[in-house]
Amino acid sequence: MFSIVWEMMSKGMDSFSLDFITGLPERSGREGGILPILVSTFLVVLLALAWVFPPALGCALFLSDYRNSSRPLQLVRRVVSVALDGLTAVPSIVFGIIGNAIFCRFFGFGYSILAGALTLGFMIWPYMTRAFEETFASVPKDIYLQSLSLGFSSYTYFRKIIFVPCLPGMVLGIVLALSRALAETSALLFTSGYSDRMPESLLDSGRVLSIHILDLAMNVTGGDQNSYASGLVLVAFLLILNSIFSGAFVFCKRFLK
Amino acid sequence: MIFNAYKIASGIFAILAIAVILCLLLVESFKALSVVPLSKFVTGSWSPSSGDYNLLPMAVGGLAASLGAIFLVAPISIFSALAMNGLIPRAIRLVVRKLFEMMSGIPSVIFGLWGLGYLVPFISRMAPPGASLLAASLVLSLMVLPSAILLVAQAIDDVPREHMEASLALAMSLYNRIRVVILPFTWTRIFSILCLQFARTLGETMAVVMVAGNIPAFPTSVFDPIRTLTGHIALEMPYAEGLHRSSLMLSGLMLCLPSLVLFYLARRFLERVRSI
Repeated sequence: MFSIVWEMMSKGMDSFSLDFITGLPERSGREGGILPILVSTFLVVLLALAWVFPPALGCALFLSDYRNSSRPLQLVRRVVSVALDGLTAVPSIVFGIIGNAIFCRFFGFGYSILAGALTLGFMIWPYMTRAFEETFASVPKDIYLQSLSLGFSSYTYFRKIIFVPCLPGMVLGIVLALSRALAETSALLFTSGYSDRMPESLLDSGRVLSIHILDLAMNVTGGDQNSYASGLVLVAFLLILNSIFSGAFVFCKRFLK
Repeated sequence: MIFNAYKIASGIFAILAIAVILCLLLVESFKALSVVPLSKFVTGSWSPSSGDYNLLPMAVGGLAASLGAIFLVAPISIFSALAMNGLIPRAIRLVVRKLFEMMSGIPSVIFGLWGLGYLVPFISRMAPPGASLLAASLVLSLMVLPSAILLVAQAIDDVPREHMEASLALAMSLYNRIRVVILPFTWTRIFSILCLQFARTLGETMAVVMVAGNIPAFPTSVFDPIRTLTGHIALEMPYAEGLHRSSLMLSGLMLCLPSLVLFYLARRFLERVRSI
């Protein structure tokens, strides 16, 4: 375990510098930096988060609000829960080929950031929904029953009662989904494509960081060095992101109490 | 009212999404199944240009790598979870837990990179070529180990407190405590955790592609290179057309079905825990 991190640090540090982050890749990544790759990574991931947030929130509210409802809705709730489990169960490479078939071919987006983001959204959907649902379930039952007895609509209940106390949990859920999305390779291989140029529009192909690592290590001879350095960037970014937000989460919890 | 409609609509959207994925896989792979006889998929060789679509070596290779990984992970995760809960002091335990949490967030492509740069040369010194079933299993087991340990430790934490205290009051030995108190309460959960991790190793692509050697043949020893179904799709998809493409969709379907079954099993086991 330590050997993995150590390897990454020692080999990555050699070619790591500010120029590496802000430079353009040269000779298919053997030299030069990773700026366009960082840009397309963030475009893909943020776009995916942005489009999947409303349906993921809706699903989470659906699952938590209809827990004690009438029989037919109870059944629908169960089916939705199974469907989300199914989305978690589908391997990411299968998301990749399905995304390729639907978005790249059927809708004609080609290999593009847009197609990658749409595919990735479906992948992180269940993670986001489960995290949201867990936060909503932690609201004490009294509060829910009181708001029902006061005749609040479900929108009022969500916006005025549970929104603020649940906010830290929701942000944590988003960060969880974000780190899932950043780590993803195989779903994007056939949807957002390989091109390492700077993306000019959302319909341009853009290579994300993890595919860059894979490509340099597997297909480009002599690309190992930069591959390790890109790995270092990815891991460092994920760790910083996670530690900042879990720290903030603990702080917020204390503050709200 | 609109808000309720929004909630129900997004629920239905989720159902639609999974339905579309499965239907598309079925339809696409049916294109191959209707032209090529079924026996072609389990016998012969893999050369799509001459009409041979034998997917069996890939299925066996992937299964072997995942099973190997799970056989490594199961005892290690259970014992380290037990150690984390009873044997090591609290301060160290917290540090170890934080470390494992960090580890479980590392992307799989990093594990593959480590395997390629470190593990494969190491194995190739003992038994060339190095990229092998063994390397794939080891990388996969390292990949799922942190989250497996954390989840099993959580399961052991949830053993009712009074039972733990009763066993301590009876001065049970550690071995008896595990046998009489901990295992009866946790084995269903441990089983469901292992099911989920097994599904994860089956679906893993990148870490395996980088270390497994990717030769479509049956492995005869642990040092033979293998190709998994996931790696198979990843390697051939860029240039696949027509029947070739739809045979890859069939391998996607072959990947999906077992992991759906494993997820279903895991959930059933969890529900049994709740009803106890």
